[in-house]
Formats: sequence, structure tokens, C-alpha cells
Amino acid sequence: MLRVVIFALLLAALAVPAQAEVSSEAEIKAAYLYNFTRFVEWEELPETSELSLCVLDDREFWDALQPISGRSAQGRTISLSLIEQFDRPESCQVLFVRSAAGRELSRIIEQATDAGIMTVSDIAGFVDNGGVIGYVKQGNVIRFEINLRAARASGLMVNSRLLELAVRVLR
Amino acid sequence: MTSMDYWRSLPLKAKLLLLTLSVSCLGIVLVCISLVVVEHQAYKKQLESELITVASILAEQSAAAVLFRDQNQLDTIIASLRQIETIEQVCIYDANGEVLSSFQEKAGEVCPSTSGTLDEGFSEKHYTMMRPILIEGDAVGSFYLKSRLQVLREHIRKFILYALVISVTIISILVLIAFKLQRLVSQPIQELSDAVETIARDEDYSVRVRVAGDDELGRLGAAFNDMISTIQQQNRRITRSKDELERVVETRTAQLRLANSELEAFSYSVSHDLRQPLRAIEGFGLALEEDCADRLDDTGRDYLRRIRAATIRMGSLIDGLLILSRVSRKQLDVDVIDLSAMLREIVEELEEVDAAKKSVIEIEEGMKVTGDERLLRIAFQNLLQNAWKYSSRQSERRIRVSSDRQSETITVRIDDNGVGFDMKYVDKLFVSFNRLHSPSDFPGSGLGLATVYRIVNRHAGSVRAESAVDRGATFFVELPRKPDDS
Amino acid sequence: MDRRSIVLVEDNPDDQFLAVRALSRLVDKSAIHVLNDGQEALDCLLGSPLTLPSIDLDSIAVILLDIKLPKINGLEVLRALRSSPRAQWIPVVMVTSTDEPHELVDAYRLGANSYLVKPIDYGEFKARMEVLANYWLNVNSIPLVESGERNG
Repeated sequence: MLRVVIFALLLAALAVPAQAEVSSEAEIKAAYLYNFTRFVEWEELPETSELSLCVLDDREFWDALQPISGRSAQGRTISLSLIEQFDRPESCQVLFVRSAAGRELSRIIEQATDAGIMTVSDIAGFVDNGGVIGYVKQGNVIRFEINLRAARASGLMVNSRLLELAVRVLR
Repeated sequence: MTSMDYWRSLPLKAKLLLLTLSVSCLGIVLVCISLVVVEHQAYKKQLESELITVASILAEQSAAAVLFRDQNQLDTIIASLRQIETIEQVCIYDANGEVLSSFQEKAGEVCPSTSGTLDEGFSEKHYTMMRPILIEGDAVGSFYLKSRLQVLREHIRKFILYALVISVTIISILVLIAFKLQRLVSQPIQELSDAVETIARDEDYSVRVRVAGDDELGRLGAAFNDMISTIQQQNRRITRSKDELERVVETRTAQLRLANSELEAFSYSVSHDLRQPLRAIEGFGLALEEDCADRLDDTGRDYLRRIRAATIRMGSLIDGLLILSRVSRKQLDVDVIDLSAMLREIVEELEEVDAAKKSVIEIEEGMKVTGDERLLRIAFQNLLQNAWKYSSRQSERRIRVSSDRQSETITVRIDDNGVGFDMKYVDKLFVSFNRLHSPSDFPGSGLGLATVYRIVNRHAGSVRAESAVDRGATFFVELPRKPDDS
Repeated sequence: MDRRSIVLVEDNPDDQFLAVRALSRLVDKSAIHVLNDGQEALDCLLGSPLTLPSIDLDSIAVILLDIKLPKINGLEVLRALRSSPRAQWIPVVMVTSTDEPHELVDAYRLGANSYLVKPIDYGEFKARMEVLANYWLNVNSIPLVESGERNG
């Protein structure tokens, strides 16, 4: 508990002011997303030179992701696609879910797991529902949780360094 | 005393020991220094590689934390570095060079800027390095590490200490070994030197040195022994021949002494026993002449006169012989003699006897010689008498005595204008009873020049003559000169 | 008493004869006592344990003494004479064949009064003997032994 407090204080003192000028919450999450792709390895990837990053129906976040478009991760170029419907799971390696509920979310997670997609969302309790990485907000600081079981089920291997940074890891 | 003199005065033993030890000490010191240098380099490299390893691990560990700006994680990582005592400062930067986390032993030390140039590697007291934090080749931040070199210094100090201890041990062992081994070289030389000293001191040529080995020292010893054997043999031979020589000299001296005493007895009996009958012949001859003159005719008187004349001549021959033998036997009383004065006295005596003819006599003034006055007087008497006698037929008698002084000799020269002699017979001039003129021309015993020769010889000098018939004669008497003769 | 006699000690008869002949011009032959060797000289001059001296010492003007004598030589005779109180002042002339230097020295050391070398030339010898006899007989004086003894 104490550790968390100090952590928060430190972040408030150091991290926040440093990012304050440029970083909106979406931008931070976007940068995190890019970084996630660098600490996760896919067991199987399609034979393309791209790492496709799909944003499900969230224009604002898609916009925020634009700076990472074309950058490289896993030796591939990141390509962004804003999708209305999650109907072609094979074309995505990363899926950001803005908001979904109930049976819809379960279907998406199930399909994504089958397709070996790393799912990321800021829906509360996303990892508890089978999502791979979920953003959590602790005060002003954005952290993340990881569902290692879900990642394994999706054929993903998460770097232990990333796990160390996670607020919560479900095993 | 210069150091070179000191070195020379050292015994061979000490020299060998010093040489061996100084060379081995130098070797050991050089080896130690190079070991220390090599160890210093190796340890530095090891230290560097250790630090690089640590840094690489930390960079890898902190990469994710840097990306996600996870302060907590970074602090944990840095905290783990506090365990390593030598690390003085650690800084972790993000991609923009902003310090994310740092640790410094000394308060107030500031992390260096990533944009500026930094002297990486070893400085005097520190090792510093700046490493990028990479993820898939992308620099996501930097890692700065500064380590104290105390460990290195301590390590080297310890290493030097060990080296010193080991060196001292080795040198002590070397001293012992060298002390034992130097005898191999110095002992034969010492023995040789002792032997030489013994020989020089006691003249004991029976000394031999021990010959060990076939090296130069062994050969030297053998050669020395051979040499001493040769010397010993030669010595023996010399001693033997010296003894023989002494024996011969002794025998000869005894023989000579005997001969001398026989000669003395002989001359004594000559003077007494031969003269007595002569006296009788002469005496009775005269008695006959005086007492029986009326019974002798002129022929008888003539015969009687001849008998008496022959007797008197024989008497003077015996006198001459006696003088000659005395000249040979007489002990020399050596003194500086005023020769000019002596010659003048002799000439005066001659003039007293025969002043009939006009004589021009020149005697150089101030001639001095060293010798026995009585003998030299006899010699010069004979020489002047000869000159006087043989120039008696000239209308005017001329005799000239002069001298020529060299550094060690004086040559007295007597010239006359007499009848001279044929140089063919010069060899017979100084031999007893050899006369170059008949007694009827010039009376004489034939012993005068022999006596001169004997006397000059006894003075370690020499006499010679030059002449031509009717052209006068010159006699040269060369005598050794003492430095104090003026 | 007048000293008119001469004693001649000489072993060789020829020499005796020639010497006596040379002296006879000055001295009567009866005044010349000829002695043949050293022993005879000592006996006649000093006497022996059995005999008295046969020659009156006070009559002797001079003794002519040859050095080379058989039995006892002239120098020993001289020594004996000089150690005898009665004969010590009698003049002695050594007469010899040669001037052997050491003999000359010995003679004078023993108290000889004169030394004469007999020359081979007899004329010369005669002349010397005349000079000598003249001197010792007519010129020389000798102290009287008896008076010295009587007074002492």
C-alpha cells in the first residue's frame, strides 16, 4: 500500500510534468500500446511485413495512434486500421477495444483468442473477462494489467520485463 | 676509494656472488614489474568486462521500465546496484536524455548530460561508461555508470605485496644456491691464487693445485701444474749445475792456490838458489882476473870478460822474472795517482843515467789515474825506458805523453821517435822473452813489456802499440776511470 | 878493548871465500870468524849448555848474517842474539840474495841494523863490503855491556 503511495507521488512529481505538455491520456495509451507490441511475441504471424493494429470503432484513439503508424515492432511495420466490426479477426494482430459489453465483448475476446490476437482495452475488468492487456488508471497515472493465461491461450509470449511492470498479472 | 677500486678489491667470491645476485635480482624485479603491469591490464579488462556485463544486464532489465516510465521498477533496479560497493553513481535516462532515476554516493553529484561528450572508460580513479538502452536496436534511453577503481588499486597493491614476498623468498633461495654454486668457480681460483702465493713466499715448487673438471678452470689448473713442474725441474737442474759449478770453482781455486804457492816457492828459490851460483861464477871470474892476470893472455882475459858479462845479464833476467812474478802476486793498493808527476820523476831518473843526448820530453799536465802506485810506476818506468832506449840513435830524442779522457776510461798515449817495429810482430810484443830487436842493438831482458801488460791487465785496463819501422812507436795504455778522478 | 873482529855466518863455501876475499883488504883474516850454519852461530856466540861461547863477544864489531841457512835460519839466530843480554847491542847486518819484502820487514822488526843484497856483480859486492866494513869497524860505536851490568 505504501509502495503505491510513493509510486504515485513520484510519478506525480516526475512523470506527469514531463508529459504534461504533450500527453493526453489517449496519447499515453497509444504509446503504451506500441510498447506492448515490443514486449510480446506472437507464436504465429501471417506472412506479411506488417503488424496490423486494429482499433475497433474508436476514432479518437485511432487518431492518437497515428504517430506510431509505420514504426517497427517485431521486425515489422505497424499498420493501423480503424474497423467498424470485428468480423475479420485474421487481419489483425493487435485489437484495441474501446467499449463493448456483455455477450459482444465475450464474442470478440473468444474470436481474438482463437485468431492469436493480442487484445488491449481500457474497459474495467477487461483482463478478468479474458482480455490480454487492460489499462487501469491509478489516480492520474495510467498502468496496465496482464492476463497471462489469456495471452498463452492466444499464443502470445509476454516478456517478463513487461510482467514486472504490470499492476496485476493473472496467471 | 672509488667504487671501481672497491670493486677491484673485493674477493672473487664476493664478486661472483654479487654478479649472480644482481643479475637474478634484476631479472626477478623485471619479471615482477611486467607481471604487475600485465596483471594491472588484465584486471582492468576483467573489471571493465564485469562492469559491462552488469551494465548490459541492467540496461536489459531497465529497458521496459524506461519505456513505461516505471519509476518504481527503475528505483528497484538501481537499488540492487547499491549492493556493489564500488559503484559510485548510476543514472538512467530516457530517450530524450531526461534523468529517470539515479543513485549517487556523494550527495549533490549531478548526472552528466547525455548530449555532451563524456570521457568513457578508465580515468585516474574511476571507470565510467554510458550505454544506450536498446530495444530491438532502438535506443529507448541511456544508462550511466561510474565505478571506483579502489578495487583495482587494492588488487594491484596486494599483487605487488605478493610479488615482493615471493621475490624475497626466491632471492633468499638464490643466495643460498649461489653461495653454494659460486664455490664451483671461485674455489679452484682461490686454490690457484693460494698456490701462487705459497710459491712466491716460500719458493716451494712442490705445491700443486687440485684439477677438477675439463672446463677453462680445470685446464688452467692443469696448465699451472705443468708450468710449476717445469719450473721445479729447471730449478733442480739449475741448482744441480750451480752445485757442480761451485764444486768446480772450489777445485780450481784450490788448484790455483796450490799453483800460486808453488810459484811463490819457485820464485823464492830462483832468487836465492839461481843467483848464488851466478854470484860464484862472477865472483871467481873477477878473482881470476885480479889474482891471475899475469898468467892470462888477451884472449883469456876476453873470454873471462864475456863469461862475466853473460853472468850479469842472466842476473838481470832473473831480476826481471822476479819482478814479473811479484807484479802478478802483489795485492793492489788502489789510490788516485798524479801520473804527470810520476812520469816527470821517471824521466828525471832516466836523464840522470843518460844525459848525453838532447831530449825533448813533453808530458801533459794534470793527468790522474786510479791504481796501485808502485805497480803503475813499474809499468810506466818500463814504457818510458823503452821509448828512451829505442830513440837513443836519433839525433834528437823526442818523447811525448798525452791522455784522452772518456766517460769511463782514460787512455795514456806515449809517442817516441825511435826505431819503431814492424807491425807484423805486434802480437809478440807483450809476450815474455820475445824481443823484436837483438841484444847487441838494444840490450833488454824481454820482460819489460810483459810486465807492463801484466800490470795494466791487473788494473782491468789494456795496452796496445802502433808503429812502423824507423817511424817511432806509440803505446796506448787504457785504464778504467773512477768518477772522482778529476 | 878494541872491537876489530867480524863474524860471517854463511853456509855456502864459495860465498864464504868471496866474502872473506872482499873483506881481507880491510881486516886481517884472523879477525874474521866464519861460521857455517845457524846452530854453529848460536853455539859459538851464545854458548850451549855444555860449552862456553868460543868467540869473545866484546871483540866483535859486526855480525854478517845470511838469512837462508841450514838448520836454524838467520832470522831465528837474530832473534836469539837480540834476546841475549850479552849480545843484544852487537850490530847485525843481514846479507841475503834477494830483497824479499817480507824478509826485509821481519829482519828490521827483529832488530837488524842493516840489510844488504848480494849483487851478482862481484866488483859491486866488493865495493859494498868495503864500505860496510869500514863503517862498522871504524865509524860506529857500541855501548859496553859489562859496564851496564856492573852498574845495575
